[in-house]
Amino acid sequence: MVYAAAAKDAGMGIRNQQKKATREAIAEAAHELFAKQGLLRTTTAQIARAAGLSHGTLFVHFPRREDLQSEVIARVGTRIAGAVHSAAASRGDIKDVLRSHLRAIAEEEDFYIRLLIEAPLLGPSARSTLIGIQSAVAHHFFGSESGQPADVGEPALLFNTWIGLVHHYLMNRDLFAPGVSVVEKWGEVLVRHFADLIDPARRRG
Amino acid sequence: MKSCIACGMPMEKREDFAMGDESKDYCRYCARPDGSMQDYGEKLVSMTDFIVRTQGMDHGAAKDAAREMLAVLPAWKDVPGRN
Repeated sequence: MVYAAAAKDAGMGIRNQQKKATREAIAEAAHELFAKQGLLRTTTAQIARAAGLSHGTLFVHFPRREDLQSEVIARVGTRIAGAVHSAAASRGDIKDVLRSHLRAIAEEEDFYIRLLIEAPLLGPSARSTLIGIQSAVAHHFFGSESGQPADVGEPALLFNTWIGLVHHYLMNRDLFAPGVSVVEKWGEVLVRHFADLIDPARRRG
Repeated sequence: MKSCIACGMPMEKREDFAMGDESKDYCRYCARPDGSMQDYGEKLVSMTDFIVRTQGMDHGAAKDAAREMLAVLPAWKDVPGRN
């Protein structure tokens, strides 16, 4: 009896592992296609094909297309927010915080741009993921010791000036950096420009 | 690396943890002054306020976003009436 139970447990363990691996393969394939061609344009049939699975198997793991979108969006969001925290935690000046933000985006630039452009048409998870990433940045933006942006008016407006600038360049990548990474091409220029803009010495002068 | 179960923040250094105690599953920002973890209601209020203060969004929209963010975190998976 004991052996039978152990064998059953082992069987369950393997089944759970397989289930997890299949889920992982689907999410990976979806992530790649979402980044390449957009979240709304990608069909579940395309994802199943890319993952080497039947359409039916995909639906067992993700009954609705939105479930799969939310899962992938949440994963990328966690990754970007985590990268912002890790890179910014060393507590440099404001420029270091901004660079950490851009580096974290650069690792997922294609996907992030799709998310930005399509967010208003996707479910609430897309919106909240972007806001969550921004909260991670804001946490360090207002917390960086030497770079504390002081006396520059409304904090949210200051923060949104940075977000708006970055998002404008990203959403119009075809105009600013066709075929290449926006962060690579423009990142340092944007960081220096923003830091200069809020530099108290410069603002007094 | 551990992430805070209540807000998702990665906890890398000792001081990131509540009371600097690395055996805790939640971060310093999710702890009350006595070291215990804030409850769902407190976290929803503080997260909403942070979004409004730093990103300038409408209060209702910020609260909806905060609810969405909390919904995927381990600490609040089973909170009844969370939405």
